[in-house]
Amino acid sequence: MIEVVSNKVDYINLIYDLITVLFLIFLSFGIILRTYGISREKFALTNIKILFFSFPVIVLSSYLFGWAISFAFSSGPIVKGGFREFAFALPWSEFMGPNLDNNQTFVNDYQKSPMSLIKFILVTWSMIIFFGSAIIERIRIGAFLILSIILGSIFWPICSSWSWSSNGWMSEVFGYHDAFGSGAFHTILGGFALGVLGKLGSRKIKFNSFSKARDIPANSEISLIFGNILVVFGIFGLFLYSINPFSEIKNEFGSYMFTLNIYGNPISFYGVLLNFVMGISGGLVISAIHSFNNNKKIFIGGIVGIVSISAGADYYHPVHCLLISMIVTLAVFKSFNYLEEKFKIDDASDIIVSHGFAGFWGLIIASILLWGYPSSMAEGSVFTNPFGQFAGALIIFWILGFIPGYLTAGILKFFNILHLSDTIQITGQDILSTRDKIIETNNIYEAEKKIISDMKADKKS
Amino acid sequence: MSRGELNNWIVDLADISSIYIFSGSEGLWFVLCVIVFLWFILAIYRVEKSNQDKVDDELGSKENLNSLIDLFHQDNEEKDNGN
Repeated sequence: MIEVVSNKVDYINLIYDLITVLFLIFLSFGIILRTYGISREKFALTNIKILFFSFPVIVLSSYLFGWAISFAFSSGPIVKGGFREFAFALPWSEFMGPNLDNNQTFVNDYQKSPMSLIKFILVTWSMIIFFGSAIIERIRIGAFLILSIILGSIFWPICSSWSWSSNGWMSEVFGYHDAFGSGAFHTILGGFALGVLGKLGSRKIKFNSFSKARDIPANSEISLIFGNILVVFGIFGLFLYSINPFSEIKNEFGSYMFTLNIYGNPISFYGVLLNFVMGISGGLVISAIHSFNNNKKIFIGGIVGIVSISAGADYYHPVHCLLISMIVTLAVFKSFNYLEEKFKIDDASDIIVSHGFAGFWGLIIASILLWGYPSSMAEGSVFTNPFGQFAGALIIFWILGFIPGYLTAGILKFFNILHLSDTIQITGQDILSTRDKIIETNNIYEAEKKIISDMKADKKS
Repeated sequence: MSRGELNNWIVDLADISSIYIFSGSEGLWFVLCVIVFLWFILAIYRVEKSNQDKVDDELGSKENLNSLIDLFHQDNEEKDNGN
């Protein structure tokens, strides 16, 4: 007979994780809804399908190697030693399946629990569909999936282990501080998207014969607006993802129960929450003034606001967050057209500017404001400083983001498996699923018109 | 073929770790997973290529594309008139 005596699993952690997962799902659905909104009608359905079907690819690649990479590369390797322990995250490890030690592991070694893998997959997927929304309407599905694997299961895990983990070498050597993924999530996303778009080129109709960019109208402004609202609040899932809510820490003065950031430093959960809403507000204030009549851009201010404070929101004052988000959002809105006009980059969702640039400048601002703060709990860590942070931001944007994206897209282009054919770019990817419907609908219209004219003729006679 | 050593819960549960079937053959499942993964990527390329070829064959000429654009345009006009 089996008797349950007590339950040792920390249910508060479990509930916290489930709420995090819920917000991350909001984020992903928000991006998909927004992408449906900005797609042209003849691409809209396929775009939803493409973005959604990146999910199984990300699940498989994360399970096979992405999750292990996110632990293995914390020390560089070489910079601070060899590969860190990652055997538990390999796909043939007994911890990667149902295991009675999982529950124990859940409490004792939070990072190694399967729940952490699920959260990692959802964060990766949301990054991938952000990326996918930038390159729509010209890329082949297979090429998008290969690029997704390169970003989502190789370079983002490396970036995460270098810069966004408790023992990453960047915080120990550079004094790099990025509390909520300003660099590890947003900057690498922007860099990779820029690299891919540099090779992929623009949609056929984006630029006119005078090389002036056309503003492609949204397919569904309601989807666009609600998608953006979901994204704004869904990004809160990234905040939750980067926090260890109930942790006991010790120093020589005693033992304490605190919320910790991803580097293991004590933070205030509610303070972060307040900073988060201040960041949204600052961004929205600027976007409302700057682009009130532009439904595509008006809510992006909220996203830019959050991205801009993500690097240092654990130690900012709420008013700092308001001001930083306003300044960065203004700078981002001023540079929206710059990439299009100057470099002919056709970024369908403005990912490069609203995530890449905002994340980059957020890192730089954080390094100046948090100069001298301890970057991690590890002994011998360098204090947060602008030089280390700038170097970290450059490495993330260019080496982990831009170069892999540019090279991979270049290889796919070389083998002629990157672009959709010119015909499909004109007909739209939905053509095979919607063509018959359009023809039938038109036939019915014609038939109805004929019936009406027959009825009129009958009345007259 | 035995599915595993677990056939009784009246044991010291602290000694039990993995509880999935065929424990010990993870290497094989890993290889299968890699095969499925690669097959999916290649299959997606094949499906997309066949769709693309179909559209290119049927609509690749200038006349067909023009008539298709007219068709879309007509469809949108009908919708606008309906509104």
